[in-house]
Parts: sequence; C-alpha cells; structure tokens
Amino acid sequence: MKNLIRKNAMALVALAIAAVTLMAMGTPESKLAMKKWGYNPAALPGAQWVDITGQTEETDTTPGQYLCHENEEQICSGEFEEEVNPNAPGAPAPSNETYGEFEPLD
Amino acid sequence: MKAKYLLNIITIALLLLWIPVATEKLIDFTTFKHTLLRQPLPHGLTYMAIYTLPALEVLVVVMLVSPRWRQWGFLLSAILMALFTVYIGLALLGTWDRLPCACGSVISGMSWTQHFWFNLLFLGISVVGLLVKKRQHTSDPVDQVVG
Repeated sequence: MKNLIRKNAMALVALAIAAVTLMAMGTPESKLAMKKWGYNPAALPGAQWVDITGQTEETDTTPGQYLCHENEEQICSGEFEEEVNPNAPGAPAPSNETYGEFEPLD
Repeated sequence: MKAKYLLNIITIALLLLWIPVATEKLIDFTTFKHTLLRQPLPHGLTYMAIYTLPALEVLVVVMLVSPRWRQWGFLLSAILMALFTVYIGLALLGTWDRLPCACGSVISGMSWTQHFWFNLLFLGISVVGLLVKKRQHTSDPVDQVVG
C-alpha cells in the first residue's frame, strides 16, 4: 500500500477525496428537506396524516405511499403497511421515510 | 508535457465526482435502493441498476487511479455519464407524468435542468480525457505504462 501511494500520487488524491467525503457525510443536516408529518387536528375526529407544510399527497399508484412535493419535484416520502389506515387515530408512524421528519402531533 | 497536466486535472475532476457519488451509495445503500425503486423504470432494470451502479462507480474510481487503466476509466466514466444524461434528458422532455424523484442525490441542491447540464459537462470532461489519453498513446507508446 505504501509503495502504491508513493508511486501513484493519484491514489493519494483519491484517498484524500474519500476522507473528506466521509467527514462531510458524517455531518448532520445533509438532508434536503425536513417536513413534518402528523395528525391534522383540524380534521379530528378523522385525523389525517399530512405534511403540515401542506404539500403532501397520496400517490394513486402505490397504496400506502405518501409523497411531498416542492413545485414539480418530489422531495420526501413515507410508506405505510398496506393494511394500515394511516388516517385512523393511533396509526403507527410511517416506515421508509425519506427526507422527512415524521412524528405524531398528539 | 501539457497533455500530462491536462490529464491529471481531468482525472482529479472525475475523482471529485465519482468518489462522493459512489461513497454515498455504499454508505447509505438503503436510501439509494429506495430512491431507485421510486424511479419510473421497469422493475428488473431497477434491481439490476441497484447492484451494478455502485460497483461500476467504484470501478471507475479504481481505473482512474491506476495509470495503466486510466484510459478505460475515462471511457467508463463517459458511458455512465451518457446514461445518466440521457435519463435526465428524457425526464425533462416529459417522458413520464411527473419528474422522477431526485431525493437521495449527493448533488441534491440542483434542479433537474441544472443536473442535466452538470452531467453534460462531466460527460464532456470524460470524453476529452479519453481523447487526450488516446492521442498521448499514439504519440508516445511508452507513456502507456508510465501514465
């Protein structure tokens, strides 16, 4: 390894880039969007899982999958088990959330 | 001598692209997998991409680092960038009802249009590297080993 690095400066450059990359990924706040999901109190008694920024919609192609958009770009999502009704009180938090912060408001 | 410096600059530029891209996929493989599964692609193709893309990106890095294989690294980099550019181009042309999800990208601050031009730029850089390297071989075959 030492010989390889001595003979190949590009390997050293690659290692340096990799090190910086790993350090940067260890830094929090690298996510794109932070949206909050939770019950909408205004919809009680039939509470709804909504993105409280108001930009969420359920997909019509995949049951149980909720997405949030900013303009035309999908930026976060959450999935529920198909048999779970996320709009029922006491429903669990979604799984497989991406770039969203999910927590019940109650 | 100038060609050697140019090749070094191009190689470093490509390493600055591919190392973070590959690293993110490997470290957060689950997110990468879910992101890809949300793309409007056939299921079989998606699963193939999930496992081959990170491997190919690592291969690009290894090839670029090695003087012996650098030319192939430029070629593979160009091929991958061409594929990504075409995909984004199709998305921008409205091939699908909605733009595919861009979440999970290491270059997540970019719009789709910006990402398209970014990819095109690096496709160009890869092609230039390949052409310069080939020309270098033609003018000095010994350089093939030295790099």
